[in-house]
Amino acid sequence: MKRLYIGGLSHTITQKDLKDRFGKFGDVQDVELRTRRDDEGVPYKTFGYINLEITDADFKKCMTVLNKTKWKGGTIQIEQARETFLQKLAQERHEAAEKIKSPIVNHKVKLVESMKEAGVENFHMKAAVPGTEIPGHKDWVVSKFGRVLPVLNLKCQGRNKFIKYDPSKHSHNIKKLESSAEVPDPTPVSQLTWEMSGGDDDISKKRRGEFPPQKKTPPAKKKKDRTTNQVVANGQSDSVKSCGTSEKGSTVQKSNGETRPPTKPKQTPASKKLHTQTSVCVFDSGDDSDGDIRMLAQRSAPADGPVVDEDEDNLEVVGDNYIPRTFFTQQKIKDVCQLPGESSGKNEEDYDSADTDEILNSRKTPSGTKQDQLPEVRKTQEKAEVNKQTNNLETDRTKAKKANKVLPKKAVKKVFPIKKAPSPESDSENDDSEEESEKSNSSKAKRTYNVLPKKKAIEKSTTPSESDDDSEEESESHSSKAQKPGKKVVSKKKTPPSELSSDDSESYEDTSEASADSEYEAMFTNCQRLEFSLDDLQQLVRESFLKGLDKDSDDDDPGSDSQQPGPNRVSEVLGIEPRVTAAKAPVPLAKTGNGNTPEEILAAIFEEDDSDEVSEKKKKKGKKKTNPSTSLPAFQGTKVLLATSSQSAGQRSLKRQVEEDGKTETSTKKQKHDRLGKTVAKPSETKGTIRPRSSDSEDTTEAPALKLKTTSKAKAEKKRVPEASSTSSSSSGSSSLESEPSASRSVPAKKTQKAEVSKKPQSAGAVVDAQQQDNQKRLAAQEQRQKEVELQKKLIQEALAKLDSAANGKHHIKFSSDEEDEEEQTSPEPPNPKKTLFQNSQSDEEDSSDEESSARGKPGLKDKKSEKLAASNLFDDDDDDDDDEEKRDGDRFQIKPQFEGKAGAKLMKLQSRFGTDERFQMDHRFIDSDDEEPEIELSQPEKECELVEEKKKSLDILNSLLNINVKPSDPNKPTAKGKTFRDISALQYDPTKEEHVAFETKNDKPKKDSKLAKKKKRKEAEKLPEVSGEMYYDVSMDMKEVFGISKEEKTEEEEKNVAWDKEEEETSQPMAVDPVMVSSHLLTNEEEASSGFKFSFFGGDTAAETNTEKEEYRIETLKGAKVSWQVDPRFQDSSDEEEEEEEEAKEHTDTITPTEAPLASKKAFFFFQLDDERLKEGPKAFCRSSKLEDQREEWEEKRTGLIEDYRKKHKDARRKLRTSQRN
Amino acid sequence: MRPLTDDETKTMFEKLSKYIGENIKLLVDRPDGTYCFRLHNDRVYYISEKILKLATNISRDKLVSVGTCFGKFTKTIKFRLHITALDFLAPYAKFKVWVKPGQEQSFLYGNHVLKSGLGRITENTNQYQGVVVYSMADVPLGFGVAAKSTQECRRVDPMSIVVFHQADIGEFIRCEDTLT
Repeated sequence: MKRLYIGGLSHTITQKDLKDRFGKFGDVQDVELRTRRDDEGVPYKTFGYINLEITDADFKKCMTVLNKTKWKGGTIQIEQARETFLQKLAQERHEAAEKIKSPIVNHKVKLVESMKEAGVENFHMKAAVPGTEIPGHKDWVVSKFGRVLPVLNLKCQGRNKFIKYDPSKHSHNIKKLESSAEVPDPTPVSQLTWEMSGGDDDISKKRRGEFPPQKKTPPAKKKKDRTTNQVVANGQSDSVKSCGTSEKGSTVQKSNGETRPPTKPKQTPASKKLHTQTSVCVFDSGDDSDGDIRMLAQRSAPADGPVVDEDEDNLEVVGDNYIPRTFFTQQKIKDVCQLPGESSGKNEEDYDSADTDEILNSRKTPSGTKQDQLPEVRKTQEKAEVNKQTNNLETDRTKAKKANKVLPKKAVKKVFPIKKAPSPESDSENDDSEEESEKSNSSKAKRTYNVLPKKKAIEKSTTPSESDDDSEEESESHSSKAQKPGKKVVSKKKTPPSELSSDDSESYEDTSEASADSEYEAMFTNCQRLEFSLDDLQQLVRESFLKGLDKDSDDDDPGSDSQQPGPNRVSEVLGIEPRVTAAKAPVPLAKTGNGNTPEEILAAIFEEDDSDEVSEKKKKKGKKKTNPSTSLPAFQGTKVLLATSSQSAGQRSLKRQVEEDGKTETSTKKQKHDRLGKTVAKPSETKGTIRPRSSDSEDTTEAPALKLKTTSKAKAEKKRVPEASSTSSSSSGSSSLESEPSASRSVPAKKTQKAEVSKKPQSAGAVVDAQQQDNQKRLAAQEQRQKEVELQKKLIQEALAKLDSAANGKHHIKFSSDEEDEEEQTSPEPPNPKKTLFQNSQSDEEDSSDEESSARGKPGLKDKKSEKLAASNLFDDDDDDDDDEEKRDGDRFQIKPQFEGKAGAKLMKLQSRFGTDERFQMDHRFIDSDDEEPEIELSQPEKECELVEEKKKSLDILNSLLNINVKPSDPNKPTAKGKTFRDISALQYDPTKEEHVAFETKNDKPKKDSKLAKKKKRKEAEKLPEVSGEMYYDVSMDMKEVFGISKEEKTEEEEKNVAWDKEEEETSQPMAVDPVMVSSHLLTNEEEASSGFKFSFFGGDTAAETNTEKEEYRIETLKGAKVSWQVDPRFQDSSDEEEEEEEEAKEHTDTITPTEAPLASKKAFFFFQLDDERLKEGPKAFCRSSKLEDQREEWEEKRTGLIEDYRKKHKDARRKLRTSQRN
Repeated sequence: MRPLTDDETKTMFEKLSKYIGENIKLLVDRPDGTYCFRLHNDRVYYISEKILKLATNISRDKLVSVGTCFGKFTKTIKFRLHITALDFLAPYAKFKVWVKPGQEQSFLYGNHVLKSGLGRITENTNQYQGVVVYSMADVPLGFGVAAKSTQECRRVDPMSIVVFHQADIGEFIRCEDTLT
């Protein structure tokens, strides 16, 4: 059906016409005609719509036939028209109805279902290549992850183009979505993790911001130790250098290799710490020289940390004791340093080996040194690690042997077993050992031992050990040098800084305390053979003393075994030399003669190869050691006697010497390192041995330790001395210290030539002659010092003994001074007091032995000293007397205080009358105090006149300048109080000074005064009123005039007469200061007051007083500004004001108008008082005086009046306006 | 050594009065003793009468200094105050300027006082008024002349000069040889 529009119809056409007309082509269903008419009803247009059921062909035919044809006067125009809205509506309704009827189809479901058919599940198509269309769905494409997405047609913005968006081509944007199942339930905010629970490890803690407190890690300590060691090593190298021995070069090189800077001299000053450091340093230096980090780690790692700590602590404690030791310790240290330096110079390898060896040496000094030397020899000979180990074993054995031989050796042996049972045992020992230092030492020793076996290079260990030994020796020497009691402490102290020192202390302590190790016990078992009782030791000591004496005489005899004491050095040197020679010989001998001593036996048993030399050495040592067992006392003897040489002591000394020799020998054999270390170690060992035995009696041990130290020092010295004395023999022996390094140089070159070294030393000695001489000098000086020290000690001991024996009446008083004098005389020997202390601290046995020895060996010296002391005392007394006399003489010519000054002169005159008669001596009380004043007064005025004139002049000038009235204060008149020049800042209230009364608050005066004043004032008040009335008015009148006139007058008056102004000022100023004065003055001069303007203020009337107050106030302010130094007038005026108030009150009662009084009182007080009128008046201001009603009435009345007034005024104003306008 | 002439006295007092005003009177007329001004080598010394008598024992050519030197007369017969007079100016000073700690050093090196360094100033100070300079701890540092009045000082920018430097105690070190 089509709807056609037919236009251009004539007005006359009807629907029927249309129907007929178009019926030809189809079925006309509806015809609609419309006519457009004009306003006047005239149709001007007619058209119609026809709904036709027509085919297209008919429609075309119709169009061709009827379109634009004329029909009844009009041209028909046919067009196809749009459907009628009714039809559309109907259609829509119909469709809607149909929709309702038809079931609703879920497209999504359909889609899903259709997709499922195509193999798509949940919009995912597995195993599909992206970009493939879903079969049956053109708009759906497989995209990334097999996801099926629709192809979108997007409209471009602003354009009509559509863009096809194919998701498969942009699939890279797609992210894989986690399945809902995988996504955990969203956690509430409250449950979110706010803190990360970190682990306990450091990193997590650090993340959390928790930083552990910095702890001193053991490695750091190690480093410190190393540094200290290095320093020490440096010092040693320096000392070696300083020795000037030919060895320097080698030592320096070695030291350089070891990174040892020269710092030994420091050690000497910083005695304790340095020593400890030195020991430690040596140890470390050995490590450094080796460059074996392993060694270090192994050695240090296990026990260093704790040990170091302990050592450090100990060191601190020791520090105090050490101070006195410095000299000896320095020397010893130097020696030791030289030794290690030599050792270092010999071979760096030796250093490495030294670590273990050192420990061994330190403990077993002689044996260890021998062992070290032996291993070195072995190395040279065998070079096999096994050999080294064997060497270690041998060394251990030798040590054990030594220990067996001598108690000190036992200690050494103990150490050795510890070493054998190295780390674990050492640790256990440490734990077991009561003393930390000992523990550390043992642990160190163990470590060293451990290291040694581990490290093939025993030599290396030996070097450090040597260094350790050196340090130990140093420490020992220090300790020995230091007082005996301090020894342990010293050793401990030393130990803390340096393990080596600790080793020493360990050796001491170990021996003394006997580490619980089975090894130790074994050592003891070995040692049992040689154990000595204290009695034996004492005997030995005595013998040693005797021997020492002999030695003193026989110092030159190198062969003499007994050479321990003061001569010990020389004797030792000598002994060392023979011993060295003997040791060289003995080496073979020792092989043969192993059985002589247990040490020899042990050595023989333990070592085969090295045992030859070592055993020899050991044997020697052992022999010596066996002697040393006796030597312990010998050491004491050496210490005590120094000069005395006892046979037994000689044996002991021989043992020591042998040890030393062995050290030297070993050094020669192994290398100088070993020698040094051994030498050091030997003394240390001996010391240690002595000490361990001393454990039985610490005092005895300490004494030997001291002796050992002295011996060690003495050794060096002796060695040097023997060099001088017996150049050849000593050259070998002398090399012990300095020559040894040289020998060591030669020796390292010839390691195998150990025996040769001993022989060679002579050549070396020749080379080093100069150095030796120097050394000899040194030694001599040291000996002298030691002797002096000993003498002092003896003296002190004697003094103490005498004190005890109370019977020394004669010298009793002088004694202390004697000691001081002696000390002063022996000033170069600071250690003396220490030694004395040391001796005192020493056990009675030692004291007794020392005393005995001293008594035996040096009675003469004591006597001499005592004599000297006495003499010195006398001398001192004389000096004192002289001084006193001098003073007296001086006093004679000094003017006595009572005669000083003019008064004194007068006194002199007075006294001259009486001569020198004491009865009439003049005192200051005799001086006439009156005389002075008039004189002064007389002299002043003339000169001052000029000055006064000058002052006036200047003031005049000032006046002219400033236009101010300035008058010079009359010098004759007491100036106003306020004018006195006072430094206010420095002003201090002194109750004794009359001037300062002004600062006191006067409580009493006002009352007293008030009584008088009241009477006066009452009278005045009674008198005044009559006048006052007149005066008041006059005043008021005058006031105005006065102000006007005053200026004029002033100017006039100034011009005319300055003096007049001045007078005025004078009067006015005091008035200002003292109002009372003013008032009284005014009162007295009523007439004047009336006449002059000044006085008009103070009219004397009661009424006028208010004015006076005001006036006063004004004046004061001005003055305060002008006169800065014036006393504050307020202080003075306070009482006066009160009086005035009182007056006023009375006056009020009397006559005067009541109103003024309250005014005055109001002005009087700024602060409120309880009865203040203001308080009463004040509230009234806030209260109504009348009732509200009354007020209203009043107000209303007023209001009416006001209104009337207003109106009147308004009218008047209008009138005026009008009149004005009219005008 | 001789007393000052009237002219000299006048010039000196004029100068002094710029700093201490009429308080000069307190210097001239002292209650605690007689003091006077004396001229020696063109310098004016403020001397106690006692010391004056003692000084008469010393010949003029040998006398270097007596009492306190207040200043000297220049060749043009003007009076120039020296820092040594500060001890007598400071207690009587009428107008004072306090310098901040930061600029104390600058002032003591001879520099003027800038507004930035001005800690405190006496009110009603006029321009070109002599002022004594104090540190904030009330230690007199020297004296000078106010370059600006107190009111102007408030408006002025921080780097402008407030007090012209005349003398400071740094001269005791800097001019050690010329001070007597």
